Amino acid sequence: MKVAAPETDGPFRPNAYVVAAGIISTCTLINCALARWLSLTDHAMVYLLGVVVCAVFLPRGPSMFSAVLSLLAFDFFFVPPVLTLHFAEKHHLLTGVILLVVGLITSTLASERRRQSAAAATAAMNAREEQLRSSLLSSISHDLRTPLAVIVGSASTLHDNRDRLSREEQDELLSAIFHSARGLSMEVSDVLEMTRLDSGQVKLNLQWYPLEELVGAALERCKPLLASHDVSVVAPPDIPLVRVDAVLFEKLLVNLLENAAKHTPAGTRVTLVVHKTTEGIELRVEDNGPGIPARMSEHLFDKFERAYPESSTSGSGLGLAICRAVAQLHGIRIQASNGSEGGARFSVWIPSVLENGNGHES
Amino acid sequence: MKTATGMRAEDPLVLVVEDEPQMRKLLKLTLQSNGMRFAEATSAREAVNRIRAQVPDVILADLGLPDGDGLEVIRDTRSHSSVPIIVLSARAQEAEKIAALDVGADDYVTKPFAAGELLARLRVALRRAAVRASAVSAELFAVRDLRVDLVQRRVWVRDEQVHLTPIEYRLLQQLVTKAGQVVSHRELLKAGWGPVKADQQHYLRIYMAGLRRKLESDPTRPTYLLTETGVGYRLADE
Repeated sequence: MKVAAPETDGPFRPNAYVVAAGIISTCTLINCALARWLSLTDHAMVYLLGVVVCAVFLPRGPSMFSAVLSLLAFDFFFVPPVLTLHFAEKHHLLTGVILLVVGLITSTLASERRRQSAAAATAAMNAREEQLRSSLLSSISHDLRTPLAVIVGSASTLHDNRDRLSREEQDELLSAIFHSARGLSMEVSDVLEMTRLDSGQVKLNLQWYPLEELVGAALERCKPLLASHDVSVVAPPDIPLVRVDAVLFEKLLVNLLENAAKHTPAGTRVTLVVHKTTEGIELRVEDNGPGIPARMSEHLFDKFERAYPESSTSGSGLGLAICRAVAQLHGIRIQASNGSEGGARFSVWIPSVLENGNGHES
Repeated sequence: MKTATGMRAEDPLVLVVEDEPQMRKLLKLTLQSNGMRFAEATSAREAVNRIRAQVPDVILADLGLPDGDGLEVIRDTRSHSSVPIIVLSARAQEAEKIAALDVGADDYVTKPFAAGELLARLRVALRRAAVRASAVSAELFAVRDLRVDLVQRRVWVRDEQVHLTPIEYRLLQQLVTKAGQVVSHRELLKAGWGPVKADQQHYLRIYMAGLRRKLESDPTRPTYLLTETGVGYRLADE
């Protein structure tokens, strides 16, 4: 049964005590109404029922209060001599004491159970976080180990064998160091970015931007990675402004472009399409490469998903997860599919500018 | 190229403000093997004192210093000198870069950086400083197919004259003054509209979009008017 009350020793809540008193009063009224048919023990049972009800719905303090109150009410209204707190007969005292003790035990048990189920929920949440953290750690350790090995190995080889290596060989090793380090830097960046986005503490700096400015900046940033691809932009001359967080949105575009570069062979055509729709703008990054494998389509945007696990493709597997997080923060839709030519197609739908008047051309 | 032993007195003196020894060593090697003299300061305090004693030709300051911050060095320097200052900033720290530019830094290099990037920025900074210092004010600016006649206020792209509105021209002029270096949004707004519209960045973006349409052969892939997302714009100078 779902309980609305807080944990065992919550702050003093006068309302709960009033409710407890109300329930015991109700028991008293029921006992009075049925006095002709009920024995003293039956009266005690009615009070016990009231106390159990309090234990289930109220915190420990008020429900223990109800146990005490039930004993007093029982004694005062029903134990002879009535309307006093005396027990004329000793065994009635026993009934009263048992009423009180059972009431206290029930209150304690109920609050204990509430506490335990809250602890179980927290434990489940912690377990989920732990799992994510351990898969993050294992992914990081795998991803960092390889480029680090290249760097350490290349640098030590260069250092120890300088004289025996040809100029070309030296250049190769140096180039390997440079590229591995740069790849590492980008992965670390991705991990930090994903952590930041996950923390829920990111505040969007929403401003009006000409979309082509963000496109241009993203393409410029990806220039080295897309050097051996055939990149083009298809956009109408009068794209409306969009209201986004520039830094995050550029990151989204960069990740989509990097994704295309990493998963398609050299020479593949990568096209960035800006398309006006009735609701706003559709932005597509599409390629004519091998496309998205069918088994991937559901989990594409999950963290650490890779098209070919354990492959040598660099990257933390967080690129698309970051895209999704950024899209969610903006409240815009992102979707992956395979285009008509078989290549991959990633679309983002940005709602129209016309929601509020400002931001239009001055 | 000059070697470390063949330094000439006219070689530019770079003061590096950096607390990490490995970074200092790397910068010393890089600078000295590229025709520059090297001096170092390991804290903001030391930097301020050194600069007051002798102003170098360019200052390279890491923004993450232990005893106070690089911004202090910039502020103090700017109170008595217009020596070019380039800051080393961590990636994805736009606010940090803007703060540095606002107190008077000329440009930034984002860590981790390749040697080539750093040297390019240093050379641009030295070039700009030389232009500022020269008695003759610049009359013509040219980079690839773009030509700007600063006296007649005319602009040509691929030998065709382009008509710019007064605001567009003022923006372009500010970018030309700092060609090769980043110009913050705030500085551009001031140049285009005066101190009034400091927070109206979207006006700036709309006008920059207009400039791109007029000057670039493909506005979605600009080669002259480059965007530094979150910080400002940069006019290519080569």
